[in-house]
Amino acid sequence: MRPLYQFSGQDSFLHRLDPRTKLIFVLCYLLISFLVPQPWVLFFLLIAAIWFLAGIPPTEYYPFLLLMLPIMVAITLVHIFLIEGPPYLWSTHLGPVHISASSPGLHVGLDLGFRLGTMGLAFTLFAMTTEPFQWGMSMYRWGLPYKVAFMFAFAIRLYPLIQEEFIVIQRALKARGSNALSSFNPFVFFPGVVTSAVPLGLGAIRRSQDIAMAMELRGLNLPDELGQPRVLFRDVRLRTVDIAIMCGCLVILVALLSARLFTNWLPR
Amino acid sequence: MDPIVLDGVGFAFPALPPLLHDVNLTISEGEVVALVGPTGCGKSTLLHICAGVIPHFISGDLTGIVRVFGTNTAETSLARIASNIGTVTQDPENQLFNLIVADEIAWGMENRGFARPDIRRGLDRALDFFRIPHLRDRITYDLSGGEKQRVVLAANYAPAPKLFVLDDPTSQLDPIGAQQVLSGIQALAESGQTILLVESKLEEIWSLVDRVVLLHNGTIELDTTRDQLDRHLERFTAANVPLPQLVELGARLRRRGVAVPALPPNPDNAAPLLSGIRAQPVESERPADETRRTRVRVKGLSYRYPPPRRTLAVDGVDLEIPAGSVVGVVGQNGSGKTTLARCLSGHLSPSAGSVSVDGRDVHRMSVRERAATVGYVFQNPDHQIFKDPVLEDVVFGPVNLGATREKAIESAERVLRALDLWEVRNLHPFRLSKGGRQRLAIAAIAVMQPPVMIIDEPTTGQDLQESHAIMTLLVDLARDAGQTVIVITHAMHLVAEHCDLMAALFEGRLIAFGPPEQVFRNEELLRQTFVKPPAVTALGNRLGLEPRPLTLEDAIDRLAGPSLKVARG
Repeated sequence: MRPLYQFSGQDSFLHRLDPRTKLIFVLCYLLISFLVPQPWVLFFLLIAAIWFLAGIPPTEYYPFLLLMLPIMVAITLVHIFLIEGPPYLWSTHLGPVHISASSPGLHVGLDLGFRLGTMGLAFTLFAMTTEPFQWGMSMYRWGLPYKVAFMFAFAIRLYPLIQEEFIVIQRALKARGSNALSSFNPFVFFPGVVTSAVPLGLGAIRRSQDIAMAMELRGLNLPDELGQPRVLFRDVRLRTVDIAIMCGCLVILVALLSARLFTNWLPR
Repeated sequence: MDPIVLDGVGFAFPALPPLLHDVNLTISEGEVVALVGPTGCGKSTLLHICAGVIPHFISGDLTGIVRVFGTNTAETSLARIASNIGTVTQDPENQLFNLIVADEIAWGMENRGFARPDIRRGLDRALDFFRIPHLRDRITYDLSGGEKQRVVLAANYAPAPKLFVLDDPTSQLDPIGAQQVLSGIQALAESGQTILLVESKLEEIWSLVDRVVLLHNGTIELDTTRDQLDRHLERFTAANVPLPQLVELGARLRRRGVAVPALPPNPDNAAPLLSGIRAQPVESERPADETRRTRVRVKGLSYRYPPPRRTLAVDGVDLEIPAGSVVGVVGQNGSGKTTLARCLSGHLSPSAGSVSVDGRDVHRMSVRERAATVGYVFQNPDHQIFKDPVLEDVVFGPVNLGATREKAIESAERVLRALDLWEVRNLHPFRLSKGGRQRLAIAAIAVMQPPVMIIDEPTTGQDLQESHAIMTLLVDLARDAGQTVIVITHAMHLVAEHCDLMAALFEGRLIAFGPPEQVFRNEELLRQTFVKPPAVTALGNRLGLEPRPLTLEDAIDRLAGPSLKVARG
């Protein structure tokens, strides 16, 4: 199991795509999930794509799926009980209050749950198959200042470190007899989060100072100092396949949008 | 032009008394100079001054003149000063900014405006020089500590700086990682680079060093060549800076009237020089106490990490640890030490087997019961500081376990006094030194009085005095409170001196368990997990001394008898 949202480091069709292509794909996919009547198909299609086009089976990111599951179930349940209308799956009266679980509510809830799951999964696909450096350089190519783009990529590089530190801190809290971070009671859990934030925050501050110094020593500011352009050894380039996929995504999105707006092929 | 010239340099951090004063030092081209001194003497600060970090990045009151390749660092920007220097610090995690190794090595050259073909050549040259071409496309956070630090060295080497400043680059590495990095430093030295370094493993770089500079009491107390070091033993002792064990052994034997030549730090080379010695056997001072009851019982313990790692980190370990003993757990990184300790403490549930403390299975205990039964002190003390001030942090655990505040404070006072922290009880924990924070982490667990305490690398980054102080505290805890103390460590001299028992792990298997004097005899077995006995014990193995000396004092006692004759090899 790797930490959530961590680059997988493999070499695959999806890994080789330009980050901009994947970003366009993700955005189109999200919009499409709101246009099609069966978003669960898109959800499972995405799992298949991550498996077969990126070589990452669900066992490697199941914590994410487990994290999404209660959210998806909660959304579905809320809609089952909030949306009225026959056919009813179950109903009862508690005094004057009528409580019912409706079939339309189930459908709406499931659709929304899967749309949310699809969103999360699409971003997971992007994060697991996109090297932060390429992500940062793409933003640089789109006009972001180099230092901002580099720091953005670096922040993602730091994420697994911070996640590991958090796990150690969680264990250290347990070693002191506190199980606050595993508690479902918000009055116990949130004070536990605040307590664990002390070592995490102070450690991050200390680390950031050391890192800033090391970057400075390796010449982060030298191009500005010397007034010379920055050389990029490994640049990002759009390939034909990237352009083809971007165009394909946009064409499908426009087609579905048109079908939704101007025909009766897709339900509104 | 000399790479470094310090002329009357002094430095004080804001609102603090001067840390350095009247420092004069010249380093010539191609020299390898080791800077040594006790913790807190200002070694890293002096390196920062030489690298231009002070005054440009860290502020304070810098006096005197600092010239790097003739340029006054106070009058030049840090970026320009740094373009001539490769700087490597202790923690590789804070020096890797890119995800892929090749990008990391290329980054410094990109910043210096190298053309792409030159970057490619520099990258290949650096990878070859440090023998890491196989790491080229690896993800940096997936590398071992030694690999990471070699990548940092390569990244600094690639733009071809004229000077290297290395701040204890092996201090946070396991033995094999340290060996990898030291071989990289050796390659740098052999290629004629100018190097100023702080290195705690002086015996490992002995053959590379031209000069040793002793920083003590805020200034340079001694600046001498390597060969002259043992003549200044008293100065090193006064500064609490250890010389390589065998070098010190030779010097101290001569002071006791034994006519031995200067000993090299390597026992293989030193043993022939002492081969004619007939040492008097002495009784072991630490006979094993066979009567102590078993406190920790480990049966068939295995742990396999979940996918995608799937590694079998602990493989069928059986152990019986008596109450009141201090056990050192040793082995190469990845040998399963920490995983074993986490299974013992209940933080990980084993795939097979069981762990019981005083007959109770730790994996069937609640979080509170486990905390009260098996205390775990993690490696980094900063991950375990939850409250401010010091007293509140120590009280936090007992209160979680249900003690009243009054009772908790009473216990905290006892432990803080024992660990010499009572006077600083009202300070914020982060105002303590690293050693102080390490003692605080131990206090925060010891105050809960668990029958078993596990401490992960309690002496990383500490000097010899601090390390011995911490180990002595742990031994005292075991003796006074009858606690069983399990210490995970790479410091073999501490295991030899302070532990009753030691357990060596290799690929998750327990390959040796027993008193250090016995386990250290089998160097061949230990070699597979990159464990080396202390140099004096290894020397004892070669000379056949009985029992094997575990400390420098032991070795002197064995070898400095008046009837001894020394035969030159």
